[in-house]
Amino acid sequence: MKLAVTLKINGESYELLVEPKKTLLDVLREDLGLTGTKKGCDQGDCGACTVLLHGKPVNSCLVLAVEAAGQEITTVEGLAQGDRLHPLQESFIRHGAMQCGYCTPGMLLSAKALLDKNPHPSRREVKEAIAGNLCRCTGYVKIIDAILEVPK
Amino acid sequence: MEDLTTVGKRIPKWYAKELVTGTAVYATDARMPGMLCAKILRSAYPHARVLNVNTSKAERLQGVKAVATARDVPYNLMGLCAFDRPIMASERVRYIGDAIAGVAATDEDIAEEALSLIEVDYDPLPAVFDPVAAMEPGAPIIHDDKNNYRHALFLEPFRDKGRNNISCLYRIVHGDVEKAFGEADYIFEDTYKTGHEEHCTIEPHGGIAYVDASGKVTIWASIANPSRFGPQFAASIGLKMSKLRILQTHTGGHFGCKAMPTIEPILALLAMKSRKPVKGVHTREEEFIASSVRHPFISRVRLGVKKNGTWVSLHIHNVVDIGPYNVFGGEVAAWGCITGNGPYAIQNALLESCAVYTNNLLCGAYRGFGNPQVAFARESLIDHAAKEMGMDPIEFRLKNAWIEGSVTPTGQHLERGKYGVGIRETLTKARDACQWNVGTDKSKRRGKGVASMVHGSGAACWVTADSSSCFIKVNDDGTVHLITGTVDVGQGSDTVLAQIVAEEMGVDLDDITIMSKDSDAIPHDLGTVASRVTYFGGNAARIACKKMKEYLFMVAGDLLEANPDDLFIKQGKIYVKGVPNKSMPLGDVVRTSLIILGQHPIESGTFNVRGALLDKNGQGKPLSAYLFATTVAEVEVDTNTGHVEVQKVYSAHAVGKAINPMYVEGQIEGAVVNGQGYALMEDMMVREGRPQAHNLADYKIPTAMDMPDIEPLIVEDHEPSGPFGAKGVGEPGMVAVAPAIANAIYDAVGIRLKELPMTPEKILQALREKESR
Repeated sequence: MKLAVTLKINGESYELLVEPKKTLLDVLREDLGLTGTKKGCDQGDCGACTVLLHGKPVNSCLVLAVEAAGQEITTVEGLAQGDRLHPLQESFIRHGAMQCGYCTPGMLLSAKALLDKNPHPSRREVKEAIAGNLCRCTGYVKIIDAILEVPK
Repeated sequence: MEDLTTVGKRIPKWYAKELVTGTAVYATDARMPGMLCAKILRSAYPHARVLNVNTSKAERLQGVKAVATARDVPYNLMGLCAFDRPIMASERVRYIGDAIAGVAATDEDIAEEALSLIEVDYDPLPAVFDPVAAMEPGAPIIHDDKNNYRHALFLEPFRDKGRNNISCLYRIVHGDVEKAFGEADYIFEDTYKTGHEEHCTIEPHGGIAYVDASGKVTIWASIANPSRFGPQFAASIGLKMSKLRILQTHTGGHFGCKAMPTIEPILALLAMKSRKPVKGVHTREEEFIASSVRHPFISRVRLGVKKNGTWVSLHIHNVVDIGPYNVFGGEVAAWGCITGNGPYAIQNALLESCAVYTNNLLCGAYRGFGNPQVAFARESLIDHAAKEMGMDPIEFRLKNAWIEGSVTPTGQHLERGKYGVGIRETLTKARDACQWNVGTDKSKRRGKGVASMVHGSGAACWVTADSSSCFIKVNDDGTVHLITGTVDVGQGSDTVLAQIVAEEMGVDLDDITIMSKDSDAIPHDLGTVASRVTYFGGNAARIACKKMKEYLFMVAGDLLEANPDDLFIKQGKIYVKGVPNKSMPLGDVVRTSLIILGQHPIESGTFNVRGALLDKNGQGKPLSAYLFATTVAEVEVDTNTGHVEVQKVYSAHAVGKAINPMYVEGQIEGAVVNGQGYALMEDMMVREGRPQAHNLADYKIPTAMDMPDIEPLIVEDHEPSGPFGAKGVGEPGMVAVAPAIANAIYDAVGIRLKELPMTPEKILQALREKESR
């Protein structure tokens, strides 16, 4: 039996009918076609599904869609303003911080959550912020460089 | 030295914006109207006869649109080294990931429920999990038909035709090892073990299959070789290659696991049965139990050394657990021999690999392909020998390293001027960068360790001929299309190829488009494997560009009233040497060709390596480009917890020429961290054929908190046969990391671990044993 729920994503409101057991991740990807948020494990271990709830990074595979009602949800699709990329996105490009790109949306959001709270993090603080985002391609080096060197 | 404008530059990926905005679509993101969800029923036993599969209840479940079993597969065998692997198990299951049935339903819950309604009658058989036990007489036979399977040509001289589980004994015989051991002053010997390792690509295997009205099947999947993916199973599922189209878009990680079929043929069968698009994605658990993992090795190494430090004799014997099916097993066993010798001029070498079937997990290609396994063994023993003889480990290696003119154990002469032989430079560069001669603080249990390796670009030594082809076409406005079989899985090859084309054609990087991921359109390329993409794909692109310029200069020569030999292209315009005011935009030349001559400027390029198969003594020329690396690791060991902190890694790589240094660094950095995980953390704990660690919480791969500081060092040992002197780097980054860490641990606390991963428990155990001695 489905429940009516309104989700506020990247500043827009979506009225949906969802099963109570459906995760926010699945609703984003399947009901709304917002496939920028990725499914890597569906168990909360890899961080590929990271979105921000009121600015706080969460694994959206561990959040029920109905739980997220009434909260400000930010996904990777909400970072750029039209054609203008977010400074984090530009820094990632400049530093070659993406290889396959599958962990990238999650990384960007974890990084954004950090920089919004702490605009001048240390290297260690950056590592802690992305500790829950697994990457198998880059070895994290250029991702950390990119986050540290976002122009203030 | 050429004056290069694009090659050698740190240029971001041309599709970088798609990745950071989340608009890049991966196969597992694919959605189509009316799409069904597929789930796979897998074996309950690691080894059993399958007496009956009853799918009738599943088929009757509301919402189930198709169920497929082995009965639906016209020719139920596929494979690479041996044609021994069924698409779905019919009368026998040989590992717990073996697929028995596939279900396509309107949603995931119904598909799962349908799986539970499929009744399978098994007759469990004795299983064998230890490859050494699997070689003994009396061991349960896993493939009764082993000797009748079609095998890859390169394996024929090495096949074992007995009634047993041994697929082959690959060997390289160079000189006379026993005689040389007799003359050595010192002999060192030990045995080392490595375990299963899971690729853990963040995007699992999966995709979507659909059929059009004519019966043509398209599979859009997360793969790494669209040109060679379909041919691995088209005939098996009853399709001609003209009726099977493989599409790739972005692939979320590969490292070797996405070059062979997993769920894809079953998706095709379900789509053919249901006449609807069918999407299937592995769960993370299926990645561990069903998709391929790294082959475990047991390597016995014996090294004979003279008093003056010269290595005179090397014998390596690898037992390779190839799991239930010999997909890449024979190749990995062979590579464990070809690379087993390392980059060292040892006069006498016997390198052997015994490839054995077991009921453990399905094994496949994984970055390094047998080299990380054998290098762990060899480089650990070399380090042990150095310490015993009181020799410096780097000097010890420098003393025996290849130089131009050396002869490899397969008898290949590395003729001066024909090969880049940068091993010595990687040793000295790493030594200097890490200040090797400055000791570490032993009171803090810190240590430094070094390891070196050799690898190669290309796979001709097993596919018989390795080639890459492409087309170049130039449009009316002078922009260029490269249509290539060479594919980018995130490592950046599209941009690297574009840089090569831009440099060769004299056009802007932005004026190039690459089309590479549709098997209907692209020519042959073996795939993104074997560290071959820059070398093969780049060479093919250069060949096509040269032919294109020849044609365009012929046309332009007439238009400019100049000798075609005097023409060159710069920034999209054709100029005449020495006559700066005479020029013509490329587009004008193309339009003339099209409109006046009726000829579309389109040229093909093929780069081809043949004649690389080795004879029954492993003699021949397996590779046309050799890759070298030296890795130094600095560690600190916590003797209370057994935790090893890798503080810094210096990794020097001979890559010929770094077409894009940013991507070369990216490969080295990623591989170092992957190697760190392999060395210290990644343990599938396979017991009775089942991984006890089958999710990302229990199977630990390095996070940002684990990674060391990494200093990638690029050595440009110009490879004459490579595009602008370039060769490969994709796999080498991983190979020397584990032994460098093992050697650093020995330097720090005096314990030598001989089994990977070197977990805290094993470190503590070894420390206790050392104490009690």
